[in-house]
Amino acid sequence: MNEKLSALMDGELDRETAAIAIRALGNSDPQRQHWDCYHLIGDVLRGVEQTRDAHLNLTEQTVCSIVRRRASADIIFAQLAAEPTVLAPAAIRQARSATRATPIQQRTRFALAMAASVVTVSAIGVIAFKQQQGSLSAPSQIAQQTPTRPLAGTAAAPLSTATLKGPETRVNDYLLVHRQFANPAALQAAVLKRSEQRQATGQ
Amino acid sequence: MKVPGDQFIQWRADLFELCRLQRLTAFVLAVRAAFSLITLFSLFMLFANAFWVEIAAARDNRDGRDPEAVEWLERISKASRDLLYTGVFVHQTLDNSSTSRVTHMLDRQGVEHEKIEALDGPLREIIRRNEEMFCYQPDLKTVRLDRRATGRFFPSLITGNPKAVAENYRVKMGPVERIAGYDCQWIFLEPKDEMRYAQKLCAEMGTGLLLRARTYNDRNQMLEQFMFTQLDVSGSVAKLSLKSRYEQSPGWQRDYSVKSQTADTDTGWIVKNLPAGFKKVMEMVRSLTGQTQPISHLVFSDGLSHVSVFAEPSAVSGKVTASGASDDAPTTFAIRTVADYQVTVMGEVPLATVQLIADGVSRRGRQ
Repeated sequence: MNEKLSALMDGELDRETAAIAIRALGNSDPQRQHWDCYHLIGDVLRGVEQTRDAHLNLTEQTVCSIVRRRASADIIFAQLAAEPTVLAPAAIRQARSATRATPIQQRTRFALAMAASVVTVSAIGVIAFKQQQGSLSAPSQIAQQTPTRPLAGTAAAPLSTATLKGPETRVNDYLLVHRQFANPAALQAAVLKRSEQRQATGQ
Repeated sequence: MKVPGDQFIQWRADLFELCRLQRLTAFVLAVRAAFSLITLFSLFMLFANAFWVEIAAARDNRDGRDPEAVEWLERISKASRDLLYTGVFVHQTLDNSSTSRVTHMLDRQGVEHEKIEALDGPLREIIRRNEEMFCYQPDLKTVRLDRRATGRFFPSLITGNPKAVAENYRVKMGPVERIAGYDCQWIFLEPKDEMRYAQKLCAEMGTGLLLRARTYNDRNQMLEQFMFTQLDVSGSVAKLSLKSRYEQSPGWQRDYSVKSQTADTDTGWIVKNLPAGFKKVMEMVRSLTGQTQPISHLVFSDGLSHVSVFAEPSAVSGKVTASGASDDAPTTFAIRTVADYQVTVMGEVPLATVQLIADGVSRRGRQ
């Protein structure tokens, strides 16, 4: 009988059988409850909210009660999530074609993916470049931090040429030669100073 | 015959399937997105590689391969040699400054004529014909004959091949500024190592003649500056103004500083482990004013800075080692005893450079 009800719902019965089924439906409370129940299931599956709420007012003592207790889609889906996976490739293909994104959506997704990758790679590039730059500029930074050797007048007391004995007095003569009078006026004031005497032994 | 329970199970199975498919679809989409991301990433990496080469090239440019800046160096070098100009420039050091007038021309035979007059302090005149120099000292009634080798004669500061100079410095274009009434292009030369000072050159936009030049140490302290305060690059220079007013004066002494005939005399001295970019440009025998003692003089240059190596028989026994700097300008020196000779190294370079060169000086064939 339930099979007939189901067929009736789907409009698969011929006229006579349908009439019998409808009559049976009218005479039997359980049958009617089954009918309601099937519709409830159908509505739940189709996600028709209003009818679901209406059906929930049905009595509890039917086969349908089990469905009613789970009528909330959330509960059903939560239970389903715990179910083991059943492979049904044909159905998957069908469902996939049904849920396939429109070309516009696809394009949007493609564009988003592209944008994301460009951003990622740019970020990587920038970071790498910065690092490379860092490693390049590092030596010059180190060079700047490295204390230079003491220059005249900074580390050691400046010595006048008079206190420089022997060939060391030549330094100023050499300076004259080296500068070649290039800046004659400046040369007059130029006096070399000895800032660092590492070793000077005379026997 | 199906019971309602079976039916329900069937429904549930369908429902489950639907839901699972939704999740599956989400998963598939995620995978697809990931794949497109990876594909795009690899594609982008290909582009990035090409891009990288560009970046590297750009960086190389900054490392001294900026063709425009190197071209400017060539213009600067050529302008100071080929042009006819007269002007007044100031030479400024840490604690001193002096003013000189320079007049320069290139004659039809391709000989450079230059006259430099000191406008401050004692009267001094330098007449130069190519590398030959006559330094007139009226107070001493002496004319000193020398060969131009190490002096920094503004605006002819680039003495070497500009391309070789670009090997040792990162040459960059700087801003344009107005100096002495001219539009001036700054060119920055940053040393690639610690063996030389940074230089900033400013060249006149039209002719390429240097209007200003600055030397900086590694702490970005300005050690030396040359600048034209007045310049004429368009006028004609009368031949007379390129001669010394003391040329015909009687009773003057001639002081021949350079004793050797050629600029590449073998003095028997060599320098090992020269800093990168430094090449020997001259080797000669000379003597100091009023002395007969021959002194070996080797000149090394990186095209911008010069280092002199002097060697003379040591007057004192024992070892002498000293180093330091002149108190007014970027000249540093290092003294070392090699065998029985005292070696003095001097130049407009950091102290470490003269010390390194001094350590490399030796007699040929001996340690």
